Amino acid sequence: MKNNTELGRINVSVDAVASLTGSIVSECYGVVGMASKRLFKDNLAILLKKENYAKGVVVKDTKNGLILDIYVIVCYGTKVSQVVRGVQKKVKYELEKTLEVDFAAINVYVQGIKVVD
Amino acid sequence: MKTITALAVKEMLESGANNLSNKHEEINTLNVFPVPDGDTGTNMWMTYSSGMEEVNRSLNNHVGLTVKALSKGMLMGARGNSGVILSQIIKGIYKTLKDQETCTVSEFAAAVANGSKVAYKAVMKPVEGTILTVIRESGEAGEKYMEAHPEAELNEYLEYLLEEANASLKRTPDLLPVLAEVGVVDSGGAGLVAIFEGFYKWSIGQAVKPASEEEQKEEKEFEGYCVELTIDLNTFYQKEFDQEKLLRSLAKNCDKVKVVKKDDKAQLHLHTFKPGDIINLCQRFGEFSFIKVENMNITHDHHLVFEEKPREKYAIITVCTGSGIEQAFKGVGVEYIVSGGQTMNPATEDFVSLIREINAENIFILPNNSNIIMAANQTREVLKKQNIIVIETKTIPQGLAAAVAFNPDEEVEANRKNMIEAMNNVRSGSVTFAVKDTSVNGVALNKNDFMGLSGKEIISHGTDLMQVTKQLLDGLCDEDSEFITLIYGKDVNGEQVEEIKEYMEEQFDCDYQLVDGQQDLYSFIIGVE
Repeated sequence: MKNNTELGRINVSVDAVASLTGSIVSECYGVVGMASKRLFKDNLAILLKKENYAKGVVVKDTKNGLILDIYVIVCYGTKVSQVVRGVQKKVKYELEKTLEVDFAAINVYVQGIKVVD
Repeated sequence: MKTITALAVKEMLESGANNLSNKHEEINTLNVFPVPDGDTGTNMWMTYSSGMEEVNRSLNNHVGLTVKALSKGMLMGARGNSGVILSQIIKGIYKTLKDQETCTVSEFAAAVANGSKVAYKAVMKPVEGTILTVIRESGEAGEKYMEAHPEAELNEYLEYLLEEANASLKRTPDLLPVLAEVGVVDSGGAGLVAIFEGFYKWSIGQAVKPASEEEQKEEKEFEGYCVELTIDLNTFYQKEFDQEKLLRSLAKNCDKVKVVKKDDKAQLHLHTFKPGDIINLCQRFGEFSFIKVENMNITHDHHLVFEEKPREKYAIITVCTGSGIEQAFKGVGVEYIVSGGQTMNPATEDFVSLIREINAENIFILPNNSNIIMAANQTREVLKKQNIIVIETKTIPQGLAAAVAFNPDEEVEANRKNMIEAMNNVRSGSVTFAVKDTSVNGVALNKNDFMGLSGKEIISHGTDLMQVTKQLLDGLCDEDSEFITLIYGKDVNGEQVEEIKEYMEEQFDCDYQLVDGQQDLYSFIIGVE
């Protein structure tokens, strides 16, 4: 992601966006974990630890803006649809505020429901 | 009350629901976190109502089952972040009370504390300074209070819970910087406090009732937008701005329209449902220097000040210089003054731009100088749509006399006749000085000599101002004269005025009026009727 200013160019890597997103998602209510994007490859959902939130986010930089794929584990006994919408809203708001980026899509994949007791 | 029954729980919940419902809009305005979309209050209220519907549907006399119904209803109907959190809190309460047919105050307190614990479990990194903080701090404090006072009544517990929740709510800006930035407390926390307040009020016998149905209906009806614009008119419309036409084209889409044109700007105020259309329409007149669009269901203020005047039947424009003469004209009811006179003749354009601003059916112009009559007459050519009447006054006294003769209750034609008659009745003279050595009509004048003029004729001249003025008065007045208007200029002092006044009293058998005209060039301007 590039931005030209009068002083020079600013580059924000997709990894930076991913880790910022991961950190935002971890604060979203109802989200109890993030799953690795590698899930599809090895078919093994790995519940990510705190340092690895970024692994649960895939960022694609396209002409129309960023496409985010976010893989989350949601708490059992919450209204999942509302939790997911909350994630989308918060991620959009925070990233637009901090990075001034445009989005083509923010996709949230619920990879699992976890019972917490 | 020490034992809480299912009925009591229902009543308490109802009161909480009503209090939340009554306050949800206030809570919406606090909403800045996680996303400032101003819906927290509504979301919590909808979630809670969904829970209440379920409670009302479940007919039982069991505290556990009642709370279960509430929890289920809230889970299904959860809306928004705060709604989800609220549903988790209730879930925690339900888990503690699920087997209780009735419960004690201590058990209830423990359940509330558990609500906080369950709510915390559903998030990886809880953000403090939110509804979570408020439920945790107040729940824990409430549990401790019950341990210390096992015999406490429900209302005592609820009072303490509410106090603690309020205190915790006040601390939220310290924990969450974005709240402090905006200067609000957390909206979700405020919603929770509203629920607790409903509980407490019920426990002291003042259960909260829902705001009347009518009020709610009124709130919902959409009133549209209040639009205020200031347009910097482009060069074309500066001349051609047609208020009527604009009003006609706007009329379909809006009401309460006010348009005021001032110099090269136009100010516009209106109410509409489609502000975008209005802005597009107005942009062809020029660019905007100020735009305000406000939803009228939310508070709205007026930023522009409109000095709109109702359309009047008559307006009189006069031309003069000297603040005292202006005052004299204003004193006889002339509202509009174009600055000008002997040495600075106003152009037609000066009249035209002034008339465009005047909202009147008939406009009289008093040029008060033979050199200005032409410009005034040309105004009629430029503004053909307006009814402009030029009374060809050649002097200030004539103008004053014509203005006095004007009667707003008379018809246009009658006024015109009366004003011309009054004008012709006046014989005017003026005293000024020669700017250089010259000879006019065979009269030799030295520079700075004073001369008394009547029309273009020099009646008197000399070096003594008093003498010249007195001779001029002699020339103007005859036995039919009834009234003298003496306008004295800047260069005349009080003693000289006094001297002329005494002279008039001695010599002429008529009334007189002294005006401190403050004009340049002319020491005296005299009108005799």
